[in-house]
Amino acid sequence: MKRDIYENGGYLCWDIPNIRQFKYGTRPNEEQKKNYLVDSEPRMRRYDPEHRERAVVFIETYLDGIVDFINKIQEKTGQQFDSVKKEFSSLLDKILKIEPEIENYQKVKTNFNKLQKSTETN
Amino acid sequence: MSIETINTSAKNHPFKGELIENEFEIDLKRLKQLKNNPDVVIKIEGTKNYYNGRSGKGISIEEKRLYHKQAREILNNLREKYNLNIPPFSFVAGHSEEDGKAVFYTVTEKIKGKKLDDALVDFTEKEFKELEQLLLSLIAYVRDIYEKGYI
Repeated sequence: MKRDIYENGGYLCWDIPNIRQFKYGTRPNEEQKKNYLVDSEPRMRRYDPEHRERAVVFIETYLDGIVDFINKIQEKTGQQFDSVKKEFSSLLDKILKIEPEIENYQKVKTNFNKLQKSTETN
Repeated sequence: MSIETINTSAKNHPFKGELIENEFEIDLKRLKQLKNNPDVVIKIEGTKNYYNGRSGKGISIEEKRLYHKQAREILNNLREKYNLNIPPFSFVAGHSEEDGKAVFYTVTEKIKGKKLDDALVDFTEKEFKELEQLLLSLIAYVRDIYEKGYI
């Protein structure tokens, strides 16, 4: 995995993995219900090569958002979403392999492990 | 999406028709709707910079216009590459009704339905599959950002 993120800088819509940003419904004149991202003000953050720590925080926030998203679904419905957890775990492991020293990502791993543990307990 | 507007130099909002308090589930004062068009949601943006990590600092309307251009491109990518459902939206420059300051309004379609948080307790297997796909797309997006720094 190439780590260009800190070299090139860029934008991340950091707050989209949040269950509260989504509505299940229809657009005007449509009948098929879908999951819509409804926060109409795009919240992007630019990270740049000179501020590596900024990119780290944005990515941590995003990853934590996914853990929370899965957790909320699991608590409410009991859905396990094993394929999602597997994919997430794989990404997190790759990131930690590249940057094992970054505490922000270690914290995400801890939160994710708690989620996994609660799944096993239930 | 487009919506009829009037002279944006007036010290008022730029829309034809009356802006009224929102009837949405989200308690956000900056969310409004047009009395004559219930299918539209209007969000009043402040003049603070929410975009590049300098949150809280003032930002010119020109700078904001540039960010919106980038936002449109990124959200289009999220639609096309990651199949996220994002209602069409547009940005309209105008003035605040409250204090006459220059602001941006985001105009978007109203999605009729429930908050996902509430809707999912009644989900069918098919709907859970769609939700699963949504989460996988969100993971794919951050993976690409991490690998490439952009999408």
